[in-house]
Amino acid sequence: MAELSRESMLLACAAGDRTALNRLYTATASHLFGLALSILRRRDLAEDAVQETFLQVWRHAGSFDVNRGTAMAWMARILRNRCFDMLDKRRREMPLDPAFAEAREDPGPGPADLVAGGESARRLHNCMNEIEANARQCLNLAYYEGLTMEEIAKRLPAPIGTVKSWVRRSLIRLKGCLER
Amino acid sequence: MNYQNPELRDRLAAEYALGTLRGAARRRFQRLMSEDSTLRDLTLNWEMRLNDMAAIAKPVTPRPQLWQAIERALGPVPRPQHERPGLLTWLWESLGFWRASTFGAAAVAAALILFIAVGRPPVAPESRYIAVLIDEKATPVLVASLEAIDGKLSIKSVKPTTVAANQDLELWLLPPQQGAAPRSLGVLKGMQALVKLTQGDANDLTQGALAVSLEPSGGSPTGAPTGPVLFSGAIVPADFQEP
Repeated sequence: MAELSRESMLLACAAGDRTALNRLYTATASHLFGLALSILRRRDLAEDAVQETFLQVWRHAGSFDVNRGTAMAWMARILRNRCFDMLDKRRREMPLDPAFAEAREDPGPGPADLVAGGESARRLHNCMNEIEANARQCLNLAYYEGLTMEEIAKRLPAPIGTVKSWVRRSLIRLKGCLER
Repeated sequence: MNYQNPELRDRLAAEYALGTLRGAARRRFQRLMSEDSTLRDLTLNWEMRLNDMAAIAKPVTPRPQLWQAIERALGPVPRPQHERPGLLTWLWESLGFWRASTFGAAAVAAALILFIAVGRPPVAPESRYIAVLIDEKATPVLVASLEAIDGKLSIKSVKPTTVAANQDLELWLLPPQQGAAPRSLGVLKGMQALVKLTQGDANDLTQGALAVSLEPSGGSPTGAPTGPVLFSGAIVPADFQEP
């Protein structure tokens, strides 16, 4: 069986190919589930978010535009929006799953994750590495754990004003680096 | 706040994409986007950029029940798909099947000729080949004929196909070699086309197959098919010879 890109699988989904959705799931579910879990911190909710994401992916695959970005980014966008909807609804009053009580120092990726991430992810990671460590940790906490500026300030800890300016400056630097 | 200020717009779009705009601020920004297509576009750019971080998120394997739940929620697979696997799977498997059966003999013959005709340019025994490219309902859509000697491949449409203005149909050679990637033969325009193949491509095609995929305007940006394969077909010798 030929190795197909995630983009090809997504485009095949748009043509109504159900086996392509299954292959796309096999290729992406563990990363999406890991992401949902670190944001929602509960297995049942993370499963709901991933399930809802794949239903959306199936229904809206036709609106994926390969010129605007990767299939993974397109799917993660759907997933994170779903997670934030769930969090906003529940206002973070959900009990933490004990398995996730031990907060990671830096939720960013390890070297092994980079190999499988693809060219686009590697490029982003290289640009992230150009950002100073504190600011990078803020971006990682916001992206992978879905923390707000206030929550990041509490977690580090650092003054809220400092966190805000770190995040803003590093986003601008990131954009500059990615457009190079 | 002045939402026309370009710096503020860019900052809010980036923070929305990052996920730090939440609760009332997030809903307010979504309302703004719903009335402002350029803001929507700006935000999508940020989202497609930052969400590549997901590709390197720490993976956690979900329970097998999760896919089963997704399948249940999707409902039963539409009837025709019960009878055949998905288009992509079908294409690759049928290519393997052609290689293994119909073209087994042709491949052996070609290999023999190659073996005998050392030092001469490798030319398939027959000079003219034809292919009928069918869609997923097995309706013929394109007919192709190849002059193996000079590599002229002509394509005629037998069923008009329309694609969106921002899309094109791209023709691919599926080489017979195990693991060989499809090679682009160009974007198809209009009801017919004439493509001049290299001798290598022509030789491969005599034992391979043709496929057409749906691609962004101008053809695949990657050099490999990115869109769904819409039509495909194996090529066969047109000059049937007495055994």
